[in-house]
Amino acid sequence: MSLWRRLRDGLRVLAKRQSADSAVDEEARHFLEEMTADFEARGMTAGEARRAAQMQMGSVVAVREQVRESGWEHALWSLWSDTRYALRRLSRSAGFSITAVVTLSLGIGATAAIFGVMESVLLRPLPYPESDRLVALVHRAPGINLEYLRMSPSLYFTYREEARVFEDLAIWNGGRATVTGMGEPEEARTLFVTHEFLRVLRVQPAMGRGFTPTDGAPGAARTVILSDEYGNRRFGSASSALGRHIVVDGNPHEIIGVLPADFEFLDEPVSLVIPRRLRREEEVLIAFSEDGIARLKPGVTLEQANADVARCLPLAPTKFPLNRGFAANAFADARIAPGLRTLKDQLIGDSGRTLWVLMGAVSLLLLIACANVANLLLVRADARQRELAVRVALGAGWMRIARELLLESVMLALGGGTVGLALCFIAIEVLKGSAFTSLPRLQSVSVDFWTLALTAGVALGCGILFGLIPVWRYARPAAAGVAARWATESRERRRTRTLLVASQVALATVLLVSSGLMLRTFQSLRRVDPGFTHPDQVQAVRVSIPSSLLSDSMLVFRTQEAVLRKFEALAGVTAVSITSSPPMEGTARNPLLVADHDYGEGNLPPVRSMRDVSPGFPASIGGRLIAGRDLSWTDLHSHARVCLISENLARELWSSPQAALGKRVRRNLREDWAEVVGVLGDIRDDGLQNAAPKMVYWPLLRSRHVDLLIRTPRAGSASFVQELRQALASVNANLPLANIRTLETYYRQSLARASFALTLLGIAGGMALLMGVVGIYGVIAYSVSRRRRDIGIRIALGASAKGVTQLFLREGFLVAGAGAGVGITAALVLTRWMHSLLHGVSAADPATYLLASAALIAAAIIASWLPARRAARIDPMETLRAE
Amino acid sequence: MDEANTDVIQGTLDMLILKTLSLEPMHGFGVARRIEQVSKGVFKVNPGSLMTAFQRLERLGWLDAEWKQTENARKAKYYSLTRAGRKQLDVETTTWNRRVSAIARLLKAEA
Repeated sequence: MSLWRRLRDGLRVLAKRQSADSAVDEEARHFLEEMTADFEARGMTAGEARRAAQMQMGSVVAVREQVRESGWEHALWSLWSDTRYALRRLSRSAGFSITAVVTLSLGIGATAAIFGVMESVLLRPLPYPESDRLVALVHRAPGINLEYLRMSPSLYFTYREEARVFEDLAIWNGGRATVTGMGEPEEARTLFVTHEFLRVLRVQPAMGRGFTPTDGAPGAARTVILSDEYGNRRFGSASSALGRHIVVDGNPHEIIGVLPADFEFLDEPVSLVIPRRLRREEEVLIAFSEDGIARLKPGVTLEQANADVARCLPLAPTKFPLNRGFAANAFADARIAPGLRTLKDQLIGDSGRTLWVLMGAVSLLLLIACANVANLLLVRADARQRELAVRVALGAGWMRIARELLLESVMLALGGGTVGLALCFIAIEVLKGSAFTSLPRLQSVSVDFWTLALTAGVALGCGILFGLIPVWRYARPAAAGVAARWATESRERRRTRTLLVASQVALATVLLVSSGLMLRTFQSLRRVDPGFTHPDQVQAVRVSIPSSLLSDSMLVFRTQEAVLRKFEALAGVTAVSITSSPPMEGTARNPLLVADHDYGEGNLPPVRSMRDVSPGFPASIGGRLIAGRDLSWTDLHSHARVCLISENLARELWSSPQAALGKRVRRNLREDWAEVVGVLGDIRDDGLQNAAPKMVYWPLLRSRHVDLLIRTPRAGSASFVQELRQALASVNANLPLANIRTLETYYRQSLARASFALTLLGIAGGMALLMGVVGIYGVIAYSVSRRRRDIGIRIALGASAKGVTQLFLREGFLVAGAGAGVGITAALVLTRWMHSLLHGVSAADPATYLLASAALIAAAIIASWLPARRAARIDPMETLRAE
Repeated sequence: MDEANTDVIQGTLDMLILKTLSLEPMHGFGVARRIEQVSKGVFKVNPGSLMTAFQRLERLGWLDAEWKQTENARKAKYYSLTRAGRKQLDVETTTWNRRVSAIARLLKAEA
């Protein structure tokens, strides 16, 4: 009640300060009159009475001030007026204020942007209820040297029947399905899932129903759930799609539900979700081409889950038959072990490391910005030294002066924070728009509450941090006395400033070194031979032939060949080939048996990457045929048992490409030996930074989903794609042309992480260099201005202009040198965290360190040369007279 | 000005105001005069402190204020005790009496 009254009355006073003041005035005046009247009544004359009353009361203004100061609103009021005073003072020195605000906004904006990205990508939970219980069912198989093994239907059933830690589990497979019957045939991104999938995620369709076990039963009516976007696009609205049928891969499916508009799953584009119809009795033991997710029971840890999976794994061979042609103990030999991870970790992958490095970089940048502004503030406080001393002498409390100085720096910081936030918004939009980033969850990156809170916190923290430095110098209780004596330029103060600049240089060195290392990494990646040439001239398109359209696999191959012939005939095309997967888009991995290699009784031969290709594959990608010959169409038509292998595989097995020719290999015991007829140059299929996988190229025969690689200078142009579409339609009007891109897309993606880190570190390094230079310039220029008299005397005594210039150059050099020295040491320690981002360069690369520090010192010398030259031109007479 | 005048004992001004206003609503000077008169000139009230105290007591909800005509036809701010103020006066009087008697006992024991 009374608190409320206090608040209300205080607010009323704040709102109507004028009328509140005049009410107090009125009351005081009335008081005075009554007192005067009282004195008169006691027998004084009117004049005497008035004087006596005034003497007793003091001035009305003083009374008003006394009353005013007693309310809580007064503290607010004086803070506000101090703030206005600070703002006025700042606006009077616009140059200083703008420099400070811009410097800070760069630091704060960069920090906020990277934090915003980190928060959205790394910290924010996945958009499902209790998402921390979701795990990806991933395995390892050290026996066949596989660090990453996916899921198989056999394990799905095994875990469902045996595991005790899962509340629910599902397998899924991201792929494409052909939708026909509605205008042009179209390839739709599809998730093929077991019926529990949405239940595991706890996602409810926005409309209609989710899948039930019936939907996954073989022989039941086929059903499909659409994404909101697909429903809207194909049916006008999601609701009108419900209950209708669409033809997917040649079979009509009933639309039973529509996903919520905000549904997302591991950055997979999704248009359709189709239930898998697994037949338990038909599954074999080894078929690891699925992905699995599960929801752990409440309270179950990842370790417990892994332990339970390890218990279940040996049960699988007792439940499912071994694939025909596989060695009897193939499953046991693979030594499959659990490697479960949270679904979030699965999505984030190793991008966390890049982000942490960047976060470190922008934090350093922010520190540099703070040091820079602290230095500016110190110079400013120095200039106000007399004023402050006078105020202290007149009795101003140090608290009051400290508050004033702090308010000024906090105002600057808040200004920097506001501009920084704007920069952060822009930066994030640019980041989301740029294709070169390979960050997961990028589209969900936004400036949210936490980012705002961090920005505000950082801004305030910076303001107080660098505001405290001048406060410490001028406004602490002891310093007030020192200031009152306003000694000449104190050594201590200069030391503070020099220290600040030296640390700026040190931090800038760290940033320059790390961006230098990134630059070397990028260069070294660019120099890596990917195994193909001019990827921008290779058009890739996907053609899928569903079994409902053409059931006979020989016919499928004939159709694919017909499409290839049509494409070959197009203007400007120099080579076309068909492949199961274009370079850098992943390959199948299987064990490879080699005729003249015995891996020991019961041992599985190592797993090799495999790709099905048509003749012309090397020509279409611009790869090198190192030995032997390419596959021929005759090989394919006659089902010849031949293959190509990669150079590194040839060297491993037979130590030279030539020696590999005529050797025999096969995938399993069922098939005949195939003869190696050619050796291809290595292709960096796993990304430029990883070694090229050892690869076998089989003649293309059985793939329904293939990519055509077309080498032409016209690749990527809309007109060329249109011609491709017409050419495809002339072979079969029901085939969609899908996934249209150039080989360049994947090449660039492989560079994405390096170029992303390089760009951001480069920007940070550049800004750090600039701020360091400005800092050194400021310190030397200030030193020159403070020492004018000293220099004047030196020149009068015969010092040469060169000598004077050198004096200050030496000062700048020493500051920069000391800073760079410390910076190099710090960089040697800190860049170790960058190790995983680097390629082809050591984290302690001497050339980079040398160059970075040389650049900084050179910049420092230039920055000190400008004011030093001014010092040399000082006219001794003028300075001496001025004193 | 009487040399015997002293400032009001620290912390008792609130109680004195409440007591004075418990008799009848008064304006500021009226309260000052009453305190001075009743204390036979021992306590002199500083106008600034008095008005500050009014504002504080009003915000605590112990006083109500109202602008009214005085007997000599001028507008003045009249203060009156609220129910909460009356209660507070009781509390403060009790506390005060207890303290005074305690101090009195102490002084006697000393003598």
